[in-house]
Amino acid sequence: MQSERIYLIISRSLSDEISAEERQELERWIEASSENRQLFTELTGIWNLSGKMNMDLASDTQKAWKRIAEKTSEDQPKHILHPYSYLYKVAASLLVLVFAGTLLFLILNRSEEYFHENLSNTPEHVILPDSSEVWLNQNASLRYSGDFRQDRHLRLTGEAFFEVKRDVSRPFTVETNAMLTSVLGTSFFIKAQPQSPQQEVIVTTGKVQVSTNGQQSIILEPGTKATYHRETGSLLKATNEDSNYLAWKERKLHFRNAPLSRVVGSLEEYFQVDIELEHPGLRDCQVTSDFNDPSIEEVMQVLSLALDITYTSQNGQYLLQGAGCKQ
Amino acid sequence: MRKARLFVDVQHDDQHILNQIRENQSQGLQQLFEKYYHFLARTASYITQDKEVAEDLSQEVFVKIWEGRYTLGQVENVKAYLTRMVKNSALDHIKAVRSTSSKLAQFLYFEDHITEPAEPQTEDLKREIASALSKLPPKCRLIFSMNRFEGLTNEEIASYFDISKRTVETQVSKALKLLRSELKHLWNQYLLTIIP
Repeated sequence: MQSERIYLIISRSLSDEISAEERQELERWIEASSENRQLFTELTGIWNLSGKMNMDLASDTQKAWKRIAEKTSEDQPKHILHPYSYLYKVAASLLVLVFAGTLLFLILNRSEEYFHENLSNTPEHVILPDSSEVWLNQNASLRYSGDFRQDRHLRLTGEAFFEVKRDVSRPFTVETNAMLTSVLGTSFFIKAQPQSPQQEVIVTTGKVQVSTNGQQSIILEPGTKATYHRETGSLLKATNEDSNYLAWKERKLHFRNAPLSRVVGSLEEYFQVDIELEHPGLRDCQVTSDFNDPSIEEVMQVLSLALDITYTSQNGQYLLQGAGCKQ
Repeated sequence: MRKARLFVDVQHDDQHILNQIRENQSQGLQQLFEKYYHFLARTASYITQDKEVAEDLSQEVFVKIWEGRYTLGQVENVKAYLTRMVKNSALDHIKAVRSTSSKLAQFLYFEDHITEPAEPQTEDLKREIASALSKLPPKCRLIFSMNRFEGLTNEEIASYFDISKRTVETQVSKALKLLRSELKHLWNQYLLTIIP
């Protein structure tokens, strides 16, 4: 009890709202023991430190106002229609038609299954009912039910990048044949060829939970990835070292001191070609270069100049030749 | 004297704005927004600890005011009125998150906030304090933050939330007590560095 009263008096003192009598009481209490003095010093310290916190939101006021204006503009002053006028009747019957049409549309669309499959060779951009966005890489497919009212659940095969609209009441889950990825609102990439020996989730922003049927579960932060190994059934977390996992979507390739072996992997995936290194010494050659929407010939020329190697190509197969790089 | 005069001016201004809104003039709503949006968003964020959610809830307050413009009764203190609205919806929000059937949503929401306080602060100390703040009960954190970060007197806070001044003071001292026990380890560390 004593302690609660003294906390109250101290907090009044710190808020600068203490009476003269209370101040005296506080001073007597502080003098009474070194523990008391210590407690007072600590609380003053916490008070001062917490005052230095920067609590500013730095929010986008214009955007906020735009959203309010949109929501409040639907019921702007309406023109008053004379009852029974011709125009009024036409409007009324149109309204009935629109209403019936909407109703029919809603009934037909309820819980309908949606299916997207990207058969082209450019990424397909899909906007979901909750305004989350998905980019499907070639041959990827996505299935979900039309209303996201209960939960936001999708099934994916292949590769896709997700930008999820934040909604804390409805988790967004993506199921592949081996993994379940759950988020509230973030962006992340999933690579899930059903037959491939491993599947991956790479996180760009926010937090993501990945789990497998085998009950393993891990939390990923930005810059990390989860890899599922089909053979062992294990799910492992690691730092993502592939700076090009979104190359298919951005049409850009970046390499920073990357070993040629990894560069070749990225190129094979990006251009859908086979690239062989003639000499194993080439594997560790370091590459630093940026390419913006490049052609394979362009990349090959840059590589051969930079690393002093030559290349030949035949039917989409490339062979890099050279002595290798000195370490 | 000067302060009292200013207060009256603010009140008068706000009444004028509300009247514009009652008369269906949307520039009134925009003025209200410009005056109070940031304050409301910060207030909501003290409860939700989620910037995006706090902004959504504050925007909703203005939408609600506009939707109810024809039936809006007398409002004595407009700032207090708006603050109460946003406080209530923020408390409802965290209640909804807590009671949500989905354990997963809950887990992700709180996981998100406990380990990543507010903005990533570079200094360890600030991070420690932000994390300690995030562990306070929502109402306690709200009242402490209004005192500490909004520079409001306990009296003003009491009038905003329609509670007694004593309740405000109790919450502030409770916050101090909890922060102290949460930051104890830090304090010892700090003491060790200044006392040889």
